[in-house]
Amino acid sequence: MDRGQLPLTIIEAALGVLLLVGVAVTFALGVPAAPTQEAQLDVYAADAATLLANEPPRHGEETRLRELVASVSAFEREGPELARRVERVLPPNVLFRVETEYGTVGHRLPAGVPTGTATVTTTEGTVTIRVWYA
Amino acid sequence: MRAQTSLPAVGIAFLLLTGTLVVGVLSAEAALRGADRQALDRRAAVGLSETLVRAEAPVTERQNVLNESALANLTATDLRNRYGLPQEASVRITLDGRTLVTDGPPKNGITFERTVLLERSRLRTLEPSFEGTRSVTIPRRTTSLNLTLRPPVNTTMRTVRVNGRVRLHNASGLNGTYEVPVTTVETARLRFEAVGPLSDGSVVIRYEPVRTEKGRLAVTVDG
Repeated sequence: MDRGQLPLTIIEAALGVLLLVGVAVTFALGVPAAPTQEAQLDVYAADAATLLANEPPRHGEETRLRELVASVSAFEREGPELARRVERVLPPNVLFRVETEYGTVGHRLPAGVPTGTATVTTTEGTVTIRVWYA
Repeated sequence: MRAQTSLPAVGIAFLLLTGTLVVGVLSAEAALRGADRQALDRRAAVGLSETLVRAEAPVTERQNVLNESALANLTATDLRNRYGLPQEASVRITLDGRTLVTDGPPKNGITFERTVLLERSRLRTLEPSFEGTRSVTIPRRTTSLNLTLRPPVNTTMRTVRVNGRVRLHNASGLNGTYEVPVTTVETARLRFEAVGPLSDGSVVIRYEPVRTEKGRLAVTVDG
């Protein structure tokens, strides 16, 4: 009985230490990582949209993006060329998709990846650029 | 008797608990401060990159189009005073991997990349030799042409046309330096109408075509 008393206090202390270490580890691991990736993707999309929106058209209309969404035939004519242009503007490790009311060009969007989005409104319609890491 | 034997154990237990508590609180503090700092760095990096590519910034021509020579003159002091970089933060700005500005230098920090275009203009000179033709096509589109007309003594240059439209005219003869605005929408074709011969050096055309290239501007901020 007399010998049992001493280890009991030690065991209690050890349990307390475990509890506190557990709380500390939660703090060290549980702080959420900053969403830098999503912010960077949004910036990539916004930059690509800005550059394209300011580019002159290849045939008609006022800007390249407005020309793209002018009609179905314009979209079919300009789509592949625009995809090549977006590919050149974006960094090599980023894939993209350009969405318009007449259809989409670019890569197939995989499920469950973080994406960045930018939308440009023109008088003919809206163009949405979606990017994600390859 | 029982209390006597457990007193050292209680003391040891208190020491252990207090020590762990102190370590735990310190690590929690460090973790939270690290997270705060990362968020601040990210905000500073995003803000700085946003200000650098804005249409109103001194280093840009238009939104996301940078002027390369203005960019080369950028200093860390400018970044702090005009572009909203926090005074104590260290910073590095690279363009396609080439360092433009570095201050600190940042040890880790947050890096943000912007896609930009670089605009370069270079002065070009064209001296038409007027062999069999009095027309000159400017090889690249530009916004303005600088013409230096020095026709030979017995030649009167009356008119300069750009794409058929009269731009310069003087019945008694053009002589000197003229600025002719042109448009980038169509290729400029100049026609010199003169009475008498024209030769090498009679006309010198200077123009500054603009070339744009894609670039990657990386902004690193470590607070």
